[in-house]
Amino acid sequence: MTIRFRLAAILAICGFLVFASTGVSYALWTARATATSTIAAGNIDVSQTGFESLQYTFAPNSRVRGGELTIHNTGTLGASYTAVFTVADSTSFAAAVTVQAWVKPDGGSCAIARASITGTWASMPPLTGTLDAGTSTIYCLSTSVSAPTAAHAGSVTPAVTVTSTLGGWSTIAGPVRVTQNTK
Amino acid sequence: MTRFSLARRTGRHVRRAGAGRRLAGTAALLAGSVAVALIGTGGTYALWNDSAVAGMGTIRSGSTAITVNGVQDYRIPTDARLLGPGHPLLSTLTVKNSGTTSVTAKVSTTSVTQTGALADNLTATLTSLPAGGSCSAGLPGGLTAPLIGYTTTVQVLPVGAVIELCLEIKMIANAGTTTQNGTATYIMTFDAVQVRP
Repeated sequence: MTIRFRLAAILAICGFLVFASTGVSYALWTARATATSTIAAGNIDVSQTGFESLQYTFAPNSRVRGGELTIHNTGTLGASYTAVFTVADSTSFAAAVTVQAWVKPDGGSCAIARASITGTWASMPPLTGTLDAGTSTIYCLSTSVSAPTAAHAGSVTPAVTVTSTLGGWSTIAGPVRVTQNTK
Repeated sequence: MTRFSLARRTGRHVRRAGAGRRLAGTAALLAGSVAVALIGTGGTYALWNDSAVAGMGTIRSGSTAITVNGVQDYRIPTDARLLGPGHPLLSTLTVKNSGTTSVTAKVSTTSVTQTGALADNLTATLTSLPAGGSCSAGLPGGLTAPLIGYTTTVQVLPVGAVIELCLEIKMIANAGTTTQNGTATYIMTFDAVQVRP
């Protein structure tokens, strides 16, 4: 053990004693509070009814068929919806059937046509809107053909699919299909 | 033979004398170090002393305490509100330093349980409300981070200080459909540490 080593050891002891003896401790008090919560996510769901009422065979003396499409938000959160009309095979008869849609007024009926969305089964604009949870909206639908000439005879099978979306969530009701034709 | 023995004794004596000197030196150094240590303690060892009897006094220790909405363990009511995309949950939390020492405080989520991976798709935002301000969605200036692992920086709360916080729990924009009907339970912890006097 050299004198240098011993000196270093003594200085270390000395330093330890100095700091140990001056030992101010800094234990600090602590406290804690909490806020707890259980949260639940809702869901979206949608249903549709009434489109089946458009199933019809047009005749020379009955060239109009009306019906209702009810879109119901059966989820637990408000969401937007889109009702899209499609036809499996776009025939000339699909373009010959005129389709009108409008929102049925509260307490009213579909007897009187209102400002509407108009198209044909070949190109019908979608119906869009927003529904709160548990609420529904009713659309009046009117389909018609002009004078049943040979060019306006045939059959078409339109379908409606309702999609409800909320952010990245989506759900679908349908498609529901009907057949319209001529005698 | 005698000379040889004498010579050996003499050599031992020389070595012993040297060791003694080194021992004495070590002792002196130790004594010096102890003296330095005693100086470090600032202690004095005067022999005079005196005493006086102090009057009966009461010593009270302080306290470090923090509350959320007036209690230590606050249960945030959800009022059957449901979470969804664009449907955040909002809560006003009143944090108070109810102790007798200034503290530094930070907020963190210390426990999260979930179903439907709901919590994985949630963010938390804590925003300090101005006096009279109301808690609403999308307030600027808050700290937004995933609910799981949420931690704020520390903030000093003087004695009696009250901070109104708006807590917004929000679903991330691309949360998948699987999060529907999911649940999440979280504990938001407010840790306070006494400010060093």
